[in-house]
Amino acid sequence: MFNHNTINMRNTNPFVVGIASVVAAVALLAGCTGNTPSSNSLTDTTMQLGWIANVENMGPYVALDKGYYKAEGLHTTIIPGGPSVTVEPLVVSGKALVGLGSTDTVAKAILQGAPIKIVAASLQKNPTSIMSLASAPVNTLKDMVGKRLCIQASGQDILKTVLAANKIDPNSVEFVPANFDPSPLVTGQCDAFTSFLNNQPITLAAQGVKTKTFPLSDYGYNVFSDVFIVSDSTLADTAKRAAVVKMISATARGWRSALDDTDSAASLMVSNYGKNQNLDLAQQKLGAKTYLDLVETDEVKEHGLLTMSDAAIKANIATLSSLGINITAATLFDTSLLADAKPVK
Amino acid sequence: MNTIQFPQNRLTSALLRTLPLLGVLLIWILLSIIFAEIRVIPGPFAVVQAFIHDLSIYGTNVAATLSVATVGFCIGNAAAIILGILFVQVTWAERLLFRIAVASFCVPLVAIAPILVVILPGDGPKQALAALSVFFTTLIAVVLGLRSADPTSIHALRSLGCNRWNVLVKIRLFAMLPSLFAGLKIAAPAALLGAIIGEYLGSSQGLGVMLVQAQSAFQVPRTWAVATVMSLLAGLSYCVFGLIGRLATPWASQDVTLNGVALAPAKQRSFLASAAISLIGALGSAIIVIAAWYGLIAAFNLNHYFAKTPLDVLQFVTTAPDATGNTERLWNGILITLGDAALGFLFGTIAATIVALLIVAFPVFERTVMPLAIALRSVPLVAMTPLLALIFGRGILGVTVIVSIVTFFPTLINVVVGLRSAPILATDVVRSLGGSNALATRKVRLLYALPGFFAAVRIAVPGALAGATLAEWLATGTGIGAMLVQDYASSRFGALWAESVAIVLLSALLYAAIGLLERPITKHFAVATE
Repeated sequence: MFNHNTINMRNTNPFVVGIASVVAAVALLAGCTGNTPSSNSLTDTTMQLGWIANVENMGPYVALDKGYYKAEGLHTTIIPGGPSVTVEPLVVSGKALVGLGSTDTVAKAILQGAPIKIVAASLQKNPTSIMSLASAPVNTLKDMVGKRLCIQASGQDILKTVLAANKIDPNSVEFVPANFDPSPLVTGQCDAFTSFLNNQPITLAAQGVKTKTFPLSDYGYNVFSDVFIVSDSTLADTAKRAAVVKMISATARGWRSALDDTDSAASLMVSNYGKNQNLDLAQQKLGAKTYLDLVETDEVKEHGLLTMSDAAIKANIATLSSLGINITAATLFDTSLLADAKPVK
Repeated sequence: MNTIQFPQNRLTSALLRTLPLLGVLLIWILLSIIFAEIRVIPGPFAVVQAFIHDLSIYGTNVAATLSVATVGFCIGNAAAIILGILFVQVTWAERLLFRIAVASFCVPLVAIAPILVVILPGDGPKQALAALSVFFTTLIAVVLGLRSADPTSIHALRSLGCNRWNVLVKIRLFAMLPSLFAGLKIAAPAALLGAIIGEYLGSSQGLGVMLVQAQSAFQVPRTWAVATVMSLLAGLSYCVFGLIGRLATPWASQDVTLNGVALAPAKQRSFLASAAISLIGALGSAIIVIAAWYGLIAAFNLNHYFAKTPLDVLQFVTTAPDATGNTERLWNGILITLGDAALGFLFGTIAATIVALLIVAFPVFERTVMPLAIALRSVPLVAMTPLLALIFGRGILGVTVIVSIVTFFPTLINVVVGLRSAPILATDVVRSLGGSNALATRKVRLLYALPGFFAAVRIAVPGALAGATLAEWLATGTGIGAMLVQDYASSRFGALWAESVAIVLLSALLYAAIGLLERPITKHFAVATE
């Protein structure tokens, strides 16, 4: 039962694995923040994901697998997220050089004093969707009037303002607390389900549940998703900023390879980085394809992957403003790192 | 653990052992057939199939979760034992620190998670959550056990010139063991659950990750298979500590002393003097918490945007631009949460006490109820709520069920252990005089169960508050529980910290109220029997 020797996949350094098993109080006393010492003259960098390892994060994982980070002189560790992940504090504290998060959360954090910026955007289109059963479809935002909507507590503010912006009384929709598990929709505890996961309709179809889905981006919710978050102190530090630029270049290459061959990317997630979850290959392959439209837009074809074009930034700021989040582009975004990175089209 | 068992031959005993299991299986199969339409109750066969399909990955994931749970279990219990001994030996340590221990039991996850992930390396945050989920229940068990030492023997030793520490080594530590092992039985499944909840913070492996993946992909048989594995592991850990306890304390419930044991130290003082002592103790606790709070922020240079200071919290409700609105929102939330917690607490405590009485009267009952109670407490409520909400709704009933699930198991264990702590000789006296098992329970066991009952209540009160915030987050969307999550999502850490402080203060206050009730009641019954 006293198994201290389980290998921790995300820390390749045995020193850190050792520490992880030792009494927490020791760490407290030592003031250790978990920084991995440099190895082989590669710069150590950590990327904190927002969700568990599957095709949603295939870009970074393909980059890691194909050695794109190493080619940039980086030794990169990718840490999976989960339902209770705390990306922004990890970035602010420096435990993660780059974190992936959502634009509106970052904007709210900055307005509350978080010293962070968005420096690149993985998903140009927001994947947040309203999902309903095909047998009782909710096809438009207007259809939601008088219906019960399953939504995470964290998403309620956003949805209320999207409704209001579309001249629908937010009180005409009943909000039912839910999380990532779509079973309340299937069992009829609600009529529609707010899905933040792009591949959820596909995984549901695989279980024999047919759904109808429309994206909130059709109703003016135009904010980037899976954005690169870095701290202001990283941006002020020349060496760290350079490392972030390299991470952007390498991750863009990873996305390029993933999009060029989504099947291989899905296989990689199933056989390697997500192997502890026994992911279904067919579902991951289908799911991976849904990211093509979200990641590679016309603007990406023009400016390169992970881009944040002026037009898109304007749309982001306008959306946030409609949500009651008043922030300037200069406070939220720093596009200079993308300019320094190698564009990958 | 001694059970009063009627003589049975092997066959009936084997039958009685398997019957409850068969019954559960049968009900499960029936439910899965009746509710096949709604797809959320898979049959046992589908679950076994899913388990076999994933057989190759369970090893790694179980090992990952177990290793985190084990480290957390050791740290949390070691801290509880050391602190418990300190509390009993040094009265002022208890007066200053006990409230803080209560607070550790219901400080909201969303408030401490960002701090834990920033200050602890590697698996540290997960281990810390596992440790936090065992610390308080074990602390209560240790203090109760140490105080259950026979006062006559203690007086005898003291009169021989032994000091407090001699008494500790010679008497108290042994007296502590039965209660400690009861505590560890509660702690073992709790550590597992803490580790799983820790994995929700982000992990590449573990049963928690499997559960998240299965649920988000609506893989229902896999979800149930993972939940079953969690429950079996929890049940196994419970049995292991039950066994160790039985082997290590064969003398438990063999002595015949009758004394009114209580968690609170047995000092007689005037009302004014004890009020003054309580006040000084509370002030001291507050100073320690505030100092530690500032110290932590300074030591780790925690960023002010998520690590708010006590002054920030004070300003939030006093001088901030919208202080009146803030306070009003806070009060509304507290009232809702208090109501949710109160109902769940009452229902959970009554249900657990009744079940405990049934278990002692009919030991066969234990094999049916205990596995279910452990299963309910080993799967995260985040994962169970969709199903619970389907069955019980999202109203008062649903909330009460969720809160009861949090409080039921520790209450059940403590009351059962209390009922069984009655010396066999004492129950035998009743029965040799022609009394029935029920009479023995009424006359003797209930009396002995009183300390265990109060220990259970002391755990259930902060537990119910924590459970209420969970139910509000997951099922109703109102009260402090929902506010915490919404504020977290909007990075409103000022509000979040104010809400956390409110929950912690509330639990400390309620906890103190129970302390006031306990002493006179236990004393009354102890005297009555002499």
